[in-house]
Amino acid sequence: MSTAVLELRHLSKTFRGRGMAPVRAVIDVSLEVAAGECVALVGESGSGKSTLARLALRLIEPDAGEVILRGQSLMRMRGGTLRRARRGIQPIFQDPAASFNPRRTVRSLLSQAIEGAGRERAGEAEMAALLAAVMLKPAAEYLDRYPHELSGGQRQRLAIARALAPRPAVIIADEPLSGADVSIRAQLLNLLIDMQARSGVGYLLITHDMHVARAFSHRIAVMYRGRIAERGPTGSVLAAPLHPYTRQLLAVVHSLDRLPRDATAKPVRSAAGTGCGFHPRCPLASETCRKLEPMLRELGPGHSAACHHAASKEGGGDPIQSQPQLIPGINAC
Amino acid sequence: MMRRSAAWSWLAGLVQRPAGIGSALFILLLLVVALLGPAVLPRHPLALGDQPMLPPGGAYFLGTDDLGRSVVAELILGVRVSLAVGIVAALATTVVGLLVGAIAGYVGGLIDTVLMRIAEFFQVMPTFILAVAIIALAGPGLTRVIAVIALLSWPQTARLARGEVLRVGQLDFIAAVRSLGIPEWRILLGEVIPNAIGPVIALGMLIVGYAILLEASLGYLGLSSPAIVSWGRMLSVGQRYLFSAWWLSVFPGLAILATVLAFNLLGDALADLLSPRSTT
Amino acid sequence: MTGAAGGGAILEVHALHVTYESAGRAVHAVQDASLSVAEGEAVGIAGESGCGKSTLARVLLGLVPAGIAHIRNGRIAIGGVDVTGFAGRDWEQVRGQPVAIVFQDPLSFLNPVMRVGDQIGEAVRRHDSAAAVPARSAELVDLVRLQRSVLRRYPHELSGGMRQRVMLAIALGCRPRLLVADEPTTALDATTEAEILALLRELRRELGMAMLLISHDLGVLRWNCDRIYIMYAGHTVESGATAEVLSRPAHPYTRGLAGAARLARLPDGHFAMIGGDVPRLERPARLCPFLSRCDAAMARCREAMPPALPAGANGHQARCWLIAPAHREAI
Repeated sequence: MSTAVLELRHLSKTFRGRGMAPVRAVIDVSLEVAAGECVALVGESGSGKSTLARLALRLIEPDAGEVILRGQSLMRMRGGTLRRARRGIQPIFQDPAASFNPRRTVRSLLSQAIEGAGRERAGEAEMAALLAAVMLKPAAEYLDRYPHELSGGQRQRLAIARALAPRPAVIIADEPLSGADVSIRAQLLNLLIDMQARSGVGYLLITHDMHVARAFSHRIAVMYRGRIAERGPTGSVLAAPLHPYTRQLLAVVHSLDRLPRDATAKPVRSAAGTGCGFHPRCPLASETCRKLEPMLRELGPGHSAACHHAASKEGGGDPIQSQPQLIPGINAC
Repeated sequence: MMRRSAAWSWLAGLVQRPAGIGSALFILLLLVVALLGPAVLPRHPLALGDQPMLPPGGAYFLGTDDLGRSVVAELILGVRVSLAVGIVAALATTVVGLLVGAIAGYVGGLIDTVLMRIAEFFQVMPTFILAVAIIALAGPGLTRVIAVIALLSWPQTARLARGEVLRVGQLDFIAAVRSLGIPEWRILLGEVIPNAIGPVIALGMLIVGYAILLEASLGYLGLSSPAIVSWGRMLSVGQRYLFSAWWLSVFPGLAILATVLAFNLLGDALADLLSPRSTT
Repeated sequence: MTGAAGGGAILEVHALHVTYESAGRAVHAVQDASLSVAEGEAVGIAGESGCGKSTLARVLLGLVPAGIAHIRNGRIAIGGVDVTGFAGRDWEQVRGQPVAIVFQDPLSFLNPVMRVGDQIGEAVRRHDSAAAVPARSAELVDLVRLQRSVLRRYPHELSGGMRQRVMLAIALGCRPRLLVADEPTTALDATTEAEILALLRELRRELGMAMLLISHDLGVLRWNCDRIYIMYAGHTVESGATAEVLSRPAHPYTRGLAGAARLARLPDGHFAMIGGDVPRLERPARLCPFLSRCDAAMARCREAMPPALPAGANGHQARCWLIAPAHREAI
């Protein structure tokens, strides 16, 4: 893989509110995205993946850690320098209805995206090219519409066009597909593939859907309660997941072609006090897990996990390794 | 072309609210009367007549007062005062309130805390008594009345504006625009305020009504300049003759009622119309 | 697969046509839908947003806005009783018992200021004596695998999965013979979704209850339903045993939907998708509603609406001219 265009280094964020217990949303997370790469960040709601996205976009300030875009730290930038630099990293959000100023037309939205803080007027041709790239053709039909006059799928395509307008190095897409029907989902993924082929943009795709992660990503990072539980090449993570949480996520995927492993209807879970955050739900939890927080260790080529019970791939003999392969890894995009 | 269709649907929305369109037309009528009224009156409205205390009907239509002046003419002069006070006071209140509220909500932190404490300080004061005290000490005058009204009602607007700015500020599209490298002041002016201003404008309409009422109350208490005719002052004079010449109290009272009601109804209709829901 | 083990049909819908009408505009949300659910059977309805599946679920229990929603045609029978003409309090005969319903978003159906125990008790009291409430409530909470302490809590204190279990307990409090579940797991995390689906399977086994599961997720339906109906633009376009329909789809729409759901890759590296847009529902379709998006459309498709035609074993049917005998012979 080529060098990283986006590096997240040891990011941490705790939310404190009056009369509220502090919430450790992101804890010491490091992640890289290379040019032309797609990294899927997978986790349940409350795992901190959306907070991580906002940290990476520098929409909120981390308590610790750095965001490095094309080798330069966004953390040390201020004012105009920051404003120019941040155009290199663009978001796509889950809800296309909330993603646009409802009082601006498509023309106004796109010209804003193309110009940024600059003064020069965006050309009609450039806007038309952007719209054509996301299959909103002919441009004349869309330029003077308001976002609410578009369908949900069209709006999400417009969001892709807007994100591409500043020619970013990375796009951070926070659940961009979860509101979309399956036929729209395929359409949006195809667009993302085309855009990547054309511009070499890197994607950090945040999703709760293992199915999408499997089909679309080169690498997968699994987040649980603010930490990276496991990360590695998609094929390797899917074929031989190292963390019990990853295995659980894979087991419950409702695929059309493979019977999901039977989940038992478990009673209420208690929260972890100390040790590994996953131990209350973990079938392998031991005394060590309850006391000691596991570190993220590299156990295979580019494949790491934060689990006391995960053994290196060369090690063999570990009971976890003999688990059946759940979903064959398909290295995509 | 799309712009026109947006304005069109907006108009159509107003028409669908009969109370809104009715009150808008009534206010338009008041404005016309305020601008043209004195010019078309047959003689100077304050010229003393030789027939005091005429009941309604006849040549003077709504009768005359104790000095023989036409009640209609006085009402028409009063429209000017009431509208001027109401509109200028509401405008001043809205501008100040919006500015303070938007800055407090958008910048947050210490600035927010300080501005909102100041707003609270003004809000806990008994408004009317304070207004009476200030005018009694400083002396009557339209500008002073307007200033007092603005001083006392900006916190309400500021709080509303702050809440709206906070709500809009956390929407995804603001994050998207920020990521495009747009300067913060342009985000505030170009993205946040246009989406937060609807309820503030609606509140402004209510403040027009409130200001008219407050001016009338001050006039009624004799705290307005004796040199001008206002509805409140007419009431103040009329109450002395409440039993002998009812028309001196009833007509200015009705004028105040109708005008305040019209601005309130227009405010409600605008609140409905400017809410983001009505556009989707 | 249990098939139609229980014997008679608990639910039968025939050629149903439902419109929403207001301010002179009509939306033909359901245009020609037919389905049946046998006692004890698990049946799925699949389709994308706007296909009419939620309207269908709601119209079964009269949960559509009166005066706006109209049944224009067709017939609904619950346990042999024709409910098509029901209005107002008539619906009390069928709501809860024999048919209960759970929705996607439990929070909007639970009363935020009432304890969970009182809300479950309310459902119990509709069909049991007041004296039976405490015991029956405890039994229901056990049934949905929640701790009994939940009875003293308020809805906002519970997680999404727990709330959905509470909704199930309330539904089961009426001892339904058919449970209609409209996207019951869509708002939940994958692991919680799997737990709720497992719970539904266990409950059906224990109680012998039939289920009508409505979902946009073919993967969920694949492993939780004996039979499946595919809906498109208000029409039930294909039906049959779930495995058969999803592995050997006869209707081009089902084929496209399954391909998109699998995120299947085409030779050029793109994902398989269905081109074009869903038709507008302002007037009822006179030809096949999928015609404008169909790759296999032929002259006959532009002449008449295809009827439900046999497409395979075990009652597999599809509304498509491609499988008409005449067309097969022509090939």
